[in-house]
Amino acid sequence: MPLSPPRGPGEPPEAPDPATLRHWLEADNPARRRMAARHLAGTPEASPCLAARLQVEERPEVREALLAALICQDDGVAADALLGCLRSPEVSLRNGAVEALQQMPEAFAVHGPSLLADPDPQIRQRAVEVMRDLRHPGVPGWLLAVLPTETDPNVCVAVVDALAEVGDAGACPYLEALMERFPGEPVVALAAGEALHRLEGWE
Amino acid sequence: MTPGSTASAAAEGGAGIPRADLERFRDFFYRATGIFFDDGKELVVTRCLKDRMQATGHADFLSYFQFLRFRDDGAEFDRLVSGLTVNETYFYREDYQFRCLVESVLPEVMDRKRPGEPVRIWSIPCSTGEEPYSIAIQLLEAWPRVDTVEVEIHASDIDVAAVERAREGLYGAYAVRNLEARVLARYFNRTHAGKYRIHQALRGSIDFRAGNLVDPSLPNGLPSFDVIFCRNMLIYFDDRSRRLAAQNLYDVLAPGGFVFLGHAESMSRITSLFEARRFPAAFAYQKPEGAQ
Repeated sequence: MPLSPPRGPGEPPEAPDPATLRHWLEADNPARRRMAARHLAGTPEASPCLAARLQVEERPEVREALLAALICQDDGVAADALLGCLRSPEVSLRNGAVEALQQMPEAFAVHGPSLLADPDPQIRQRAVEVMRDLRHPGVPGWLLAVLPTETDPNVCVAVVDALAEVGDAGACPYLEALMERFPGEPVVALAAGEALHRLEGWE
Repeated sequence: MTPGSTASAAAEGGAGIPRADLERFRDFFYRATGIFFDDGKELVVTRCLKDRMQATGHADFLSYFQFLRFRDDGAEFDRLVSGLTVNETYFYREDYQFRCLVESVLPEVMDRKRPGEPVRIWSIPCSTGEEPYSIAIQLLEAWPRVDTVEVEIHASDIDVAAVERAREGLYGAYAVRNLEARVLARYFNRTHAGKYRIHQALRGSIDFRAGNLVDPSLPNGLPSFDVIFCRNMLIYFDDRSRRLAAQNLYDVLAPGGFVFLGHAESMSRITSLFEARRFPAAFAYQKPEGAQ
């Protein structure tokens, strides 16, 4: 038989201690940094160093490992670091933060909804983007609360699109009022009309 | 069909769930899994939803959908995914990927190999063995270099009982229905009970062992693989597990190595670490050659 009977996997090497791993997070070798991030996932007290490294890490494979580790930490430090990344000028880091936060509903719920009141409409829009796929019962209420006062049409459209999926018939008066507030914005009317079509009859 | 019933059918899905609700569910399910149900699957989706509503004690769709979205710990979503996806395995399932392995992927892998270095292939989840044995048969039947290159095939599954059955290599007629009589005769023995048993030599050529792709310590101790078949598993995971699985796949792949996923799965929805490669016979995802 030309196929070889494979040798099974060897004994797993012992993972370095957390102090060594934290040191490795700053190593020149990206493979070592990635290994450190992977091993630190789930380690108590590791969130600050993982969060700090994420802010400066440029290698995508290390960044992915850091994001996965922060999701695993699922604590306030991790969530706050990721919320900070929503302000990053770098698209891939922002997108990574959005996806990571979507997997941390309880940690996001502590400070995330306050971003809906951020002075920067792009930050408000990114917060809505997180909520769109967030498994948290507070989402419909958070979204509805901003509709009467939100001034940016793009943010309104993002909220309406999200509500079309997670809202119910109680959102309809808000949507009708929104259409009246933005008579000169056809994209708002289009989104709200579509959402109304979907939500009417939902109690 | 009367005009009235046509209008009613437009407003309602095939078995009584309003179409707008089905569309909402379809959007949600697509974003959660990457699986999109077109209109032709409406009845299947409706039937499955009704079964799950009944099983979880929800009288109407809204109640069930809100439970699924906001109160489910993931277990109900998993059951829904199981109900909406086909979970069967047999020899040469999605065989175009095996053709792609031999025609396109292995030649690239061999270009990077040093003389005498083995090619390592991993099948996870291997279920009861149909996939890794299919890979072995495909290599023996169609890869011209199989006699001169050392090939290791590893196979893992979280289900210990499935792994044990894989080692036994005993199959019914359904599992081997795609195999030509010539191939059956060459690699199987017919048992008295009318089943088919893989030849001992072929069984001994594959390393079967229990393994879980979302084990965070998985990369430790595993060899570096050139090709991984990880088909029809990621769709059953939640986002977090899917991400962990992708990280593990990345870490156990050799630079330039390839992953085959199931036809309904997409790595690009999970991570940007892999490059999508389109070959004549199939898609594969490649770990960049320059990766460390």
